[in-house]
Amino acid sequence: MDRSKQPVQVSSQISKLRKVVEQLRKEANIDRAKVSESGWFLADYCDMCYHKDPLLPGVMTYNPYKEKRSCEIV
Amino acid sequence: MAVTDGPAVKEEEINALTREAESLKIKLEEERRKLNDVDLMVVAEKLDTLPQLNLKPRRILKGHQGKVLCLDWARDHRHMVTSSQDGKIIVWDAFTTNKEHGITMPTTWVMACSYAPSGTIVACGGLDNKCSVYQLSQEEDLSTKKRAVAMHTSYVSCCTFMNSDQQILTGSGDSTCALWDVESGQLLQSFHGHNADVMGLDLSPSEACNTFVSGGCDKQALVWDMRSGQCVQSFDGHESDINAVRFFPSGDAFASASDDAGCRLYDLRADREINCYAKECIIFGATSLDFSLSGRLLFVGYNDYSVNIWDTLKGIRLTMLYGHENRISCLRTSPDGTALCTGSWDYTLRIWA
Repeated sequence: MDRSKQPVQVSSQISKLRKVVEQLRKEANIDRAKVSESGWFLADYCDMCYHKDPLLPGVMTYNPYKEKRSCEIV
Repeated sequence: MAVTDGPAVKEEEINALTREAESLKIKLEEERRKLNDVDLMVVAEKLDTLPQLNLKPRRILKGHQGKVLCLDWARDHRHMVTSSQDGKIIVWDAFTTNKEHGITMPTTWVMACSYAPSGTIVACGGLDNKCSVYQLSQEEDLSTKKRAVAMHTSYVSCCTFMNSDQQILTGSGDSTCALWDVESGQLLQSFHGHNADVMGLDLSPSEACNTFVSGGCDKQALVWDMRSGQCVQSFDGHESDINAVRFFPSGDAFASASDDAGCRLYDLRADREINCYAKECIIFGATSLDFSLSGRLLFVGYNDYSVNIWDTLKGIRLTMLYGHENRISCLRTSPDGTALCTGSWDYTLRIWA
């Protein structure tokens, strides 16, 4: 009978959907911060690390890739 | 006949579950929207506008005879491993541009490579569906030092060592990620949740390192709990495949690069997208991305051969880097932040500083 496969497919569809619902329930209940707050953390991090970031303008850290190589022909 | 589990009952259950999923999705969106009290650009106003950037090409690494597909820096900030379409892996001294090791893989399209924290092992994988490790030594033929660690049912698209040489995390075209013990090759944890090929992953830089993010062809980015194997947060918004994901250096956010030509910044605390890096004039897919050491700069490689540098917080494009003669396939800031390395389908890698 062409229905012989159906129960298996239906059960796998149900178990998949159950997983999706379970995942969504979990995600719906997590604690969230306001963007004003979480964004401030990111901005603060950038600000705090600015002077350590050699690729930012005005940062004077030693950078071996910017030095002239000793074997360069003068 | 009493049928408790008949087709009608099951159909009802399917309908009920589908309805619940839909209403949960709406609830989730509402919750996320509620906390979107201000635009990130407004928050970013407290930061000064960046002066003109001055990144220049400093080195060109030539040696691959095929498209460069992946690169990874060693922790010494100087060595680098790269893999290519021609089946070769090269270990470079990026400073001198010398090739220190060359390994030939049995298959072409080596899509993933990673440098172990100790600097003595490299891992790679690709169309062979495996992730193999090579012990670096002065011997001529390193292929004898090869050991297969991981096995997927489709290609390995990405791999990265954990904070030690003992464990490696892989992502695959079989839509899963997996954590492996390097020594025994034992599968420690598998991560199921993507509905299509996983294309990129990144470990959280936070000290505990209990989470990682993955992105894939299902347009989703998923954040995982390493120990439980469970997905803890999921983010969508992209209109096409995600090619790469990368954590913001503080570990509180991550960015994704997509074939839809855009990049997005997702904040883990706010549990939502907080910035999008796109322009009407950018129409080619974004393949790769990384942050500068402070997180302020976001480097993105595109299929149109260019690299764009974005102000992560203000969301504006600062400048572009030109030099490559084909698609940018991979890009990585050195661990000490002194240089950016880009790899391309033009067979070369370039170092910018």
